[in-house]
Parts: sequence; C-alpha cells; structure tokens
Amino acid sequence: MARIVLISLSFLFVTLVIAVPVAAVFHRAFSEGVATYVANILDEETLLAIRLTVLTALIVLPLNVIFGVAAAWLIARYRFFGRRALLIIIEAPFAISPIVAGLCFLLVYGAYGPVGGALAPYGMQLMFNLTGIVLVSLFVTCPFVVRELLPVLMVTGEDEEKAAITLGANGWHLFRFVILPNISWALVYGVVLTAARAMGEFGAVSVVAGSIRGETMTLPLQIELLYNDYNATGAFAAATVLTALALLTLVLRGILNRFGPKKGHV
Amino acid sequence: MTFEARNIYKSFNGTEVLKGVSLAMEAGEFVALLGASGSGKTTLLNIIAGLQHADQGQLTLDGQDITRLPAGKRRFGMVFQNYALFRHMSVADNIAFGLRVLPRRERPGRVERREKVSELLDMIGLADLGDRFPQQLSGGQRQRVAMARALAINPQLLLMDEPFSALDAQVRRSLRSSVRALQQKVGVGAIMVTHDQAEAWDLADRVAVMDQGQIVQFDTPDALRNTPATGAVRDLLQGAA
Amino acid sequence: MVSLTRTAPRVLPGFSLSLGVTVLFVTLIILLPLSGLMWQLAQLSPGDYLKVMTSRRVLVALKVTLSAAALATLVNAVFGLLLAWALVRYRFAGRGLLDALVDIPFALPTAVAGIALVALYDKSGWIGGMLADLDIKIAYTWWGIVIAMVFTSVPFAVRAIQPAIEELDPDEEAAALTLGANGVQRFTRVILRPLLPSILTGVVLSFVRSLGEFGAVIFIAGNLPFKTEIASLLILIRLDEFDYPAAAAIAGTLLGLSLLLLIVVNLVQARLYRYLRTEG
Repeated sequence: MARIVLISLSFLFVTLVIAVPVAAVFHRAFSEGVATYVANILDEETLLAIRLTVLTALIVLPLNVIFGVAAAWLIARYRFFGRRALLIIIEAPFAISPIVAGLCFLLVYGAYGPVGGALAPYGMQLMFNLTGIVLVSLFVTCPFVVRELLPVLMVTGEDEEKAAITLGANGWHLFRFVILPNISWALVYGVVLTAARAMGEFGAVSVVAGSIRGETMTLPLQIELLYNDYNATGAFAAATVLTALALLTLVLRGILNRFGPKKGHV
Repeated sequence: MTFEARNIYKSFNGTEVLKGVSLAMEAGEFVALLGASGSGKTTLLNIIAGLQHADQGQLTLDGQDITRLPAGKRRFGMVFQNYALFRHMSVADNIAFGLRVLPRRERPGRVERREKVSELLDMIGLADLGDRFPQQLSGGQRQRVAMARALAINPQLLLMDEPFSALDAQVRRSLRSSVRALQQKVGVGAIMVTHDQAEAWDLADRVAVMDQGQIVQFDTPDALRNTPATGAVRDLLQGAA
Repeated sequence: MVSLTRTAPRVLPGFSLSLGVTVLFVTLIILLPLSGLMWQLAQLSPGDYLKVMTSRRVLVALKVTLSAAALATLVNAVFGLLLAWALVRYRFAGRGLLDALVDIPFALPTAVAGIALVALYDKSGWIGGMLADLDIKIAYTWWGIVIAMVFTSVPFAVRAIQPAIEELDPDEEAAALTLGANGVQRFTRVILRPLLPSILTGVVLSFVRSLGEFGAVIFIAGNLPFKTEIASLLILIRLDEFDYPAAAAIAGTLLGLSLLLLIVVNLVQARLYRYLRTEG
C-alpha cells in the first residue's frame, strides 16, 4: 500500500514539475505549425546564435580537457603542498551563482578592471565579445572533466604507469598508450557534460556577452531576446534545440553508464 | 653484467626503512631478497629499479654509476607483484611495449618486433594467446606474460617483486622452475623479493636475508642453513620446512 | 664515494607540466576573477556597504530570494526524500524513466527551464490556464519563483539522499518492527536519523543553488522591483547602471552566505557522523 502511494506520488511530482514543462516547450514551439517552426529555426539571428554557441563549445572543450587531464593527474598522482586547497578551488565554480561569476569576470577583465584596463591601451578587449563568453564558460564548466577523471585515476593506481616507465616509456608514451586508454570513458563523459553546460550557460554569459544582436548572442541569450521581443513562438523554437541537446546528453550518459567499463573492473 | 648497491639509506616521514644496505652480485646470478614484511626488501627493489630514490648511497652497473639514471634508461626488466599488465593491450602488445617505445634509431621494425614477440610467446608456452587480453588469462598465464614483457627489452637485470604471491600453491610450484629455466636461458642476472623461504631456496644462487632495514646475511642457501649469522636468520629459516 | 640525492627527482613524468597548466588555468579562470570581487568589496567602506545593503529595494530582493529559496528547499527535502526512497527501495515499471527524468534539470539549460515554466504556468499555459479559472496566479508572482527554484534544485536533493538510503540496512528496520516499534517510530528513529547528514547536505546544496538561480527564475518572476525581483537580477541591474560597488556588495553577500552554508554543512556533517557512530 505504502509502496503504491509513494511510487505514484513520485511520478506525479516528476511529471508535473519536470516532464510537463519540457513537453510544454515543444507544444508551444509547434503551436503555429511545422512551417512556422522551421522558419523560426532558420531565422538568420537564431542561426547565428547557434553558430556562436557551437563555436564557444568548440573552443572551451579542448581547453577544458587539457586543464582537466592536467589537474586530475596532478591531484591523483602527486603529494604536494596545497593539494587539498586546489581540489576545493576547482570545485568552487559549482557553488558560485552564475551572475556572481559573471560579475567577477567583469570586475577583473572588463575595461574598468585591473587586467582589462591594462590591456585596453593596446586595443585589446576581453569582455562583451567571444573572449568574454569563452572565459566565463571555462569558469562554469571547469570542474566537470576533473570530477570524472579523478576517481578513475585514483582507482586505476599507478602500477601500469610504473611498469611502462621501467620499460622505457617517456611522458608522451605513458599518456598515449597507458593513461589515455584507461581514462577514455570518463573523459568522454566529462566532455559530454562540459559541452552541454557550455552551450546552455545563461546567467554568467548574459553578464559578459553585452548582448549585441547577431554578434554576441548565444542561443540561451537569443531565447531571452526573442521572448522579450514578444516572439514567444520563436523563443520556444530556439529552446527546442537546447532541450534536444539536453535530452541527448542524458541519453549519451545512459549509454556510457550501460556500456562503459563497470566500476572496479580489472 | 655485475651490479652493486652500496650503503643505501632511505626514510619515509622520519622512519628509516633502509639503513645502509650493500649488495654486490655476479653476472647471471639469481639473488633472492628474503625478509618479513616491513624489512625494507621491496623498497630496496624499487630503488634498484629507479621507481624510488635513495636518500643516500650508490648504485653501479659494471662500474658505471647509475644512481641518478631514470628508471627507463636503466633497462631493468621488472615483474610487479600484481603484474601490472596493460589492461587495454593484447598480450602481444604488452610484450612488444618496451620495443615500441624505444627511440626511433634503436626501435626494431614492425616485422622484427613481431618475430621477437612470437619468440617470447613460444618461450613462455603461450604461443596461441597473443591476441588475448590480460583479463582473459589465468593468474599463472599473466605472470608469464609479465616475465616475457620484462625480458623483451633484453634487460641488463631482471627484477621481480613477489612474483608468485598472487598464485595458488599448485601453480606457484610449477612456475618456479620455469622462471629459473627462463632466467638461465636468457642469461640475465635476477633479483627477486620474497617472504617465502622455500621459494628463495628453490630459485636463488644466493639469498640476502633482510631484517629491519639491513641485510643481516648474504650467502648461498646451504651456507645460510649451516651457519646462520644471527638469531633472526635462524628464526626466519625455521619457518620453512 | 657516496652520491647524495638531495632532491629526489619524481619518478612519474609530467609533474611540472601538469602543475604549470593547472596553476595557470586556476589562476586566470578562478582565482583572479574571485579576487576581483574581493578587491572591489575591499574598496567599499563599511558605511557604504551598509547603505547599499539596507536600501529597501535590496532588502526586499533579499527577502524574496531567501524566502522563495527556503520554501523551494523545504519542498525539495520532502520530495527529494520521497523520490530517492522510491528509486532505491522499489523496483517498478518506469523506474529507469523516473531516474532519467530527475536529471533533466541538471542537463536542461536554465533559460530553457525558465521559458518552459512560463509556457506551463502563464494564463495561456496548461496549468496556468486551469488555475486562472480558479483565480490563482502563479506566473509573475513569488510562487512562480518558488516553482522555478524547485525545478532547478530538486536533483541536488535526490542525488544527495540516494546513496545514504542505499546504505541503510533493511534488517534494522525489520528488527525495529519485531521490537514493536510502530510506523512513525520506525520512520523517525531507524530511517530518518541515519539519513540526517545526507538530507542536510541535499537541503543546503538545494538552497545554495536556489539562492543563485537566475535563468530559470527571471522568465517566470515578473521582476517587479519591491515585489518579485530576486537578488541576482538586482546585481545585473546595478551593473547596467555601472554601479559596480553596489553590484559587488550584493554579490559578495550572496557568495559569502553560500560559502558559509557550505562550510557549516561540512562541519555539522562531520559532527553528525561522529555522533551517529558513537550511538551505534
């Protein structure tokens, strides 16, 4: 009896609070027909926003992978002063709200900040352009790859790496032939999460993007713009793209969980 | 190929693990480091391998100082306690690894590498298992692959850390003789860490008995039995049948 | 001849490379921006800070944010526990689906969550329309803010509580039953108490997330000053007015509160775990 009540309540809650809103996005996007939906997606500004969003992710991903691998390797394999502090600092972006994060960047890298101010005379501007969007995206996504890699590196241990070294492997061999195959699944997972977050970040990006139409509008910003322009259908159409991306992320995650290596396997 | 360790000291966080250990071995000799856990034998082996660094002391190979030589440059084949096979590589790729990572000038060609691998697979009696992955092998088979991988680089010295401890008694005994045969066939000097006295007896030309960070006696098995240097040595030997 | 190795070289290669990359990245992307906020705050005199923070608009915004986050967290504590319990303890058709749905708010960009909730709760939406007939309004009110916060932070509660339920020992519950404990006693003593640390974690994570939530909230909040304006939005408004000190003051307060809560939960948790262990 309790079982049925609890399960029903769970489904009711999740359906009302989570599933129905997602369905409503699609309902609204297609409310004026498929033709309007297609026209909305193919709108020039929306396409530019998609382009910028993808471009941002493409820049953020490799940088984050390099950082994530380096930091996870450092924390998993070496004992040094400040190791625990480093771990906490890397997790910090998860605890900081997006608007506060964006503000932090503006205060340092903006034209009135110390770094931005120093660069301004040379005609270099870091905020209100692609650089700014990339910088805050790096901030909000930086814990993802580290978080996925660290437990895997901890579990695999260093035996294989030591064996490789006694056999004459240099740093590159070690990475390419031993470490990378061992962390590849976790790395893919981290990349998926990073990509999803980089493309979907709204608050932090909205602070530093400057919202220049057709120039610094990422897809989430474009959704807000369309919505405030009383083009709700267009906003919902743009939102379906990001929703599809989110659902794809979850599907990929499920696939990785099911077919990826099981924990503790040797 | 003569190897010598002189006056090796090593501490971890203020605890002295090795207190002035010296060891000299002849070419092609099989030496066992025998001792209870905590006697410092594994630390000594790791220092010889270059996986740890001594606080003090010197290692020489044929008179050459190799104390600061990185592990990879020493060409000491190492067999790890849990074998540390590369789980994402086939048996053949595991064995070929040391050849594959050689500098371009010294690296044998693909065909040559394949020949060397199949030669080694023959030697360890696993000729048909080159395409398997480590998970698909039995413990004894893994141990032999680890041996072959270490021998593939034509090592100057073969180092083994408790090479039989992960195996059941039956397999252990049959592998002992094959390890000894392999070592003699290749003609490489070997150092084996073990806590099993019978194992040391069966395999080694000379046994170095370690206790509390020092080598208390280093001699042939017979000499050890006839004239144990200290009570500690006698106790250790009594443990075995 | 004894060679001394004073500075033993590290055996695994790559220490300096990985240290260099990590320190450079952490400095440019995390530490420098955060110190920018600290620097801006440091330039503010206590009087200026108080003046910003005690202005009526800021006070109302904080009250709206904190109260909505508190209610959302309460809802999430209850339903987080319920969902975690159902997912761990029961096997039923659609369990995998339920599990996946819980993660949608993690994966869904907040701006999408925001307009999705508007689509549902404004007067032309499925639920909003029904409620309008009853003269209940959710979109563009404080209640809308609560719903947006519930949406974005519910997975934090579920995922924090889930592992703790997995570790609960069903035998202990059975034992409590045989000892004559009634349903309520069994729930509070045998189930709820061991779960307390993880519920606390879930509650704090969910609250911190709600405090800072922006994208999901602003679409449905209506954003009327003195009514439905959240603190994050007010930071943005001050920024647009180039009033950086005021923006920094509000942001610093939010950040300080979040960090304080996270530190406190870590400390309390350590104590709770010890307390539970000594109790057996």
